[in-house]
Amino acid sequence: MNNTVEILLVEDNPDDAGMTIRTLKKNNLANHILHLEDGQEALDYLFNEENKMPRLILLDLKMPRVDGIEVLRKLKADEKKRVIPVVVLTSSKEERDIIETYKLGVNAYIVKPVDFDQFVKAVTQVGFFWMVLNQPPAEI
Amino acid sequence: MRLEIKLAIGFLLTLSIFVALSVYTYLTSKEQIESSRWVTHTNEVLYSSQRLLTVVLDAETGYRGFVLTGNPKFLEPYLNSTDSIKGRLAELLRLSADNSLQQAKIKKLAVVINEKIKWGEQVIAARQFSFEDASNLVTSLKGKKLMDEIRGMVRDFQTEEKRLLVSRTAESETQIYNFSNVTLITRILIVIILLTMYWMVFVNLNARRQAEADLRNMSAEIRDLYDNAPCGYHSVNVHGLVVEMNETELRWLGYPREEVINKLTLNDLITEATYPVLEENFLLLKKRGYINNVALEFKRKDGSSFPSIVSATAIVGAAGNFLRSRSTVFDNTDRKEAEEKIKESERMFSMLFYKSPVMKAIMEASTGNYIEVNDALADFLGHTKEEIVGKTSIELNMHGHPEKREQIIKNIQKNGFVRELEMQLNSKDGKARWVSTNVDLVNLNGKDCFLSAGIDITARKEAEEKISQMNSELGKLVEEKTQKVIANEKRFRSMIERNSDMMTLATPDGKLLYSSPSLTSVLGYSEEELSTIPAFELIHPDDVHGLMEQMQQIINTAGKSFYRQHRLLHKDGRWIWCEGSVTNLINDPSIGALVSNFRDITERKQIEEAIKLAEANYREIFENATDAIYVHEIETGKVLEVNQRASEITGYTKEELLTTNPHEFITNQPEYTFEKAIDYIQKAGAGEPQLFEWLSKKKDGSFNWFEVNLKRASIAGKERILAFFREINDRKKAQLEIQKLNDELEHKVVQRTAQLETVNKELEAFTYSVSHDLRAPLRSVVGYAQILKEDYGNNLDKEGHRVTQVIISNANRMGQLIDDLLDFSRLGRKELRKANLNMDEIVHGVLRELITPENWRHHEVKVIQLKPSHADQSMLRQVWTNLISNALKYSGKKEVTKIEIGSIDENGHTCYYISDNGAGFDMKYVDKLFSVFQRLHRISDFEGTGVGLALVKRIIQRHGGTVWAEGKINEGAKFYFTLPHN
Repeated sequence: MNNTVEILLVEDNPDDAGMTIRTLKKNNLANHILHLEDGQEALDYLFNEENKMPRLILLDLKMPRVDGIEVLRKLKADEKKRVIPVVVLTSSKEERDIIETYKLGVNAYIVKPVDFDQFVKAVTQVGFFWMVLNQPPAEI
Repeated sequence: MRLEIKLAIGFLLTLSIFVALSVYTYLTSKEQIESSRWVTHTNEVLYSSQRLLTVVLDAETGYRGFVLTGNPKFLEPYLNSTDSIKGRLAELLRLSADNSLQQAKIKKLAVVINEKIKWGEQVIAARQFSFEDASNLVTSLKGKKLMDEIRGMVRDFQTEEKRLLVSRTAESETQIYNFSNVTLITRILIVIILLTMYWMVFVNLNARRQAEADLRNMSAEIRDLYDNAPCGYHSVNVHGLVVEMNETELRWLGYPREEVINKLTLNDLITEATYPVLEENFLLLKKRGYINNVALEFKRKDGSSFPSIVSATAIVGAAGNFLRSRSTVFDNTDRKEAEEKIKESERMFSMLFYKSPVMKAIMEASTGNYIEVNDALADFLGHTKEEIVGKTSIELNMHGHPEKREQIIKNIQKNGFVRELEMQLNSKDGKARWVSTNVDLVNLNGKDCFLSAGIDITARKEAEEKISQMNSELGKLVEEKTQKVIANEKRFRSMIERNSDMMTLATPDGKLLYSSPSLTSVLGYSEEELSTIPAFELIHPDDVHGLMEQMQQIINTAGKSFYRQHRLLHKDGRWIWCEGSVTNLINDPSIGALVSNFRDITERKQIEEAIKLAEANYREIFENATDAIYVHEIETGKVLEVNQRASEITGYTKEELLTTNPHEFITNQPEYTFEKAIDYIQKAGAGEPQLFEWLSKKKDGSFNWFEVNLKRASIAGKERILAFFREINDRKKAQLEIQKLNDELEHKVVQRTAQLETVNKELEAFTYSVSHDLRAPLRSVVGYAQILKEDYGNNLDKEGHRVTQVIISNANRMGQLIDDLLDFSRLGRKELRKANLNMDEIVHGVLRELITPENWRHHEVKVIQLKPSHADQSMLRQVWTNLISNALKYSGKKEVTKIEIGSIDENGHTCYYISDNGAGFDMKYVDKLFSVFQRLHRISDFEGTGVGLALVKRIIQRHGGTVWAEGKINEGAKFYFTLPHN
């Protein structure tokens, strides 16, 4: 399996993406992080012939073209891709978003803290958990 | 119990005791013998044992002697002794055969004795050799020991035997003692029994002796009674032989006893004349068993005789045969003489009585029975004497006037006599005859009797009778006739006069021949006045014409009558309404006038007037009611009656309303069909009053709204439906308007709500957008500034750091502001969900959240137990969070943070407070405290957005409470809010 990309970050806000990547890199949680800017790109990347299986997908919900929910749905519907842990990383605190993602089988739902320090902390924790603590299946 | 049996029992008892005693004695004697034998035996044994010992001693002595002297002569008794020892032992053994113990002892003794003997032989043998040898042996004391042993054993044996002796002796003595006691007791018993028996016999004998004496005495008395009775007693046997006669009779007869008893028969003692009487009666006695009062003439010894009355009873044997008579004899001499005298006078009297030409009779006063009548009376009556005697005159149907008899009898009894009483008597042939009698009340033979003497006065009487009869008949007839007439007259008079109706008899020209008393009571005129006033003047002028007309109609036809009402003039001037009839009876000979019969109907007229008036009133009300009133038939709904108003409203005339087809009135709008109308009517008919609205059609075709009231009522005796119709057109129009308006309003409300909902949704979306879209760049600002600080911090000087920090803190502040604003706005839209809250829990929860171990300074937080509240939990939490965080924040500069939280229950609400010892505030600016974005402190002193308290105020206000605060610069602030009780 091609494991070059360890973390797939799907985030339309470049600033947020920058902060997230910086945090992850600073904590040595991943070597190769791929940043895609909307859902369509994510789907194209994930569902091409090359059978990409990143270790973790950090998914923003509010994105142009195809939004996070859609990506999530497609991912969890696919036999192969559904084993990939998906952590939603969004500013939305809305109950309906939370419920829907959980119904689709999201692995975690993180609300981006407004406070920068908290944000860094959260990303670190998530990264640490999924990349270090968590035991992934062999496919990934 | 009879004496014999008692004696027998006593005797048997004694006998049995004797027998028992004998047996007992016998047994005891036997025992005694046995006892003495045992005693003897024991003595024997003792003696024998003693003898044995003696012999042994003898032997001892013998051999001792030999030992001492060596002389064989001493051996003799020894040798003898040894022999006899054997014999003695054997004897003892035999004697003690009964006692095995003793026998064992003897056996033992024998052994020892033998040993002694052997020893003796030994010693002897030794002696035969030398004295020293023997002496040595003796000195060894074995012999002595043996001897002692023997002695001991014998003693022992004897002691035992003596003990046995004593016990047996004692036993024997006891036996004798018992025996003597028992015999003593039984002897005493026997004595007692014998004495008892003797006593019983004695008593019995005494009693008998006494009885005998009594009997003898009585016998003598009886004898005396018999012999000296005032009458004669005798007894004759079956042949008539006198077997017993008392002294009195003997005396009367003048015979001595010896000559009569068993010597003479009764025949011998009576006169020949009375033989047959005796014979007859004797037979009778023998057959019947008794004779009573037989008259016999007894013959004395001296030949004289005397009359007697004899009665007798018979003594019969077991077979019923006559044994003897018990006869009493009474001397009848005196009575006989008296009887003769009476007979004589009776004869004389009888002659006078029976043969008198005057009719005589004697009757018992009490019963009226004829005791005696004479020939003359008997002939007169045509009865025989026998037919009359014993009967009363009533029974004989003698009296012509039996009812008079009572009175006659009373008279006689009162006065004692009656003279020339004329009575009618009937003879047997039924012919009535008259007598004139004198009757006297006399006492004959103790009885009150009537003695009557009368003469025949029939002929005279008959003549008198006839005349009187004729007269009375005549008189009667006249009387009858008169009575009838009077009675009738009375009857009719009574009817007329008592009648409350006024009755008059008048001539055709109006003269009143008669007027009943009622006229006086009704019209006030007296009878005289009435007879003078012409009748027509009493009639009301308006009614006279009518009366005349009617009069004309009847005047020519006899018996015809008319009926009318008119007014009559009362004496005091009032007109009285009367009603009645006038009948033409002019030609009736007994009346010969016009008969009028009128009654006062004033009251009735008044009532009628009142009814008419009431009726007119009701009709007035009915016709002019504001409602249209219909009367319907229940079953069909047919209109039976309507009022004026109904006609006015509908435009139909009354007749048209009654006759028009009801379907004409129906609009046939749904709800207002003919069927529905009938339904209403039927329901009302069932007793349920109906109230409803109705749409009806007028004559001109227009529609009318009515409020209808249906009620079941009894009209003219029949059950009907009373319907009230009230016009409600205006009201109905108004109603419909309102309805329309309501509908419109409803519609508007729905619209508005939809609009509001849309707005709300938009707002929600907006909020979401704000929260998401505004915050994101904020994060970047903060983040990158932070990155700048971290990654390029070395390149920055102090100012550079400060600037970066400003960026960061402002960005954070903005974020906080956005959050607060969002909360604030969200609050407005949120629904209150009230519940019973434990304020303590909420406050403590908030405190735990806000005071963490990290930010802990010196906090003194006092929470006085808070009263529970009824409010929205999350909102209240928000309130406490804001208030407490404020308190903490503004006290942050003080050494010790002192916070107090508590609640006060007040009238209708609870007041909660929180006080701190922080920076406080200037009361001058208290109004701004709760406004949005208004702060009373600089950000550099205390950070904050100025929304917190505004939020608190908003929440509390939404709960219906109030908030206010007090503060003093640098001394702290106290915040209050109230929550109403639910």
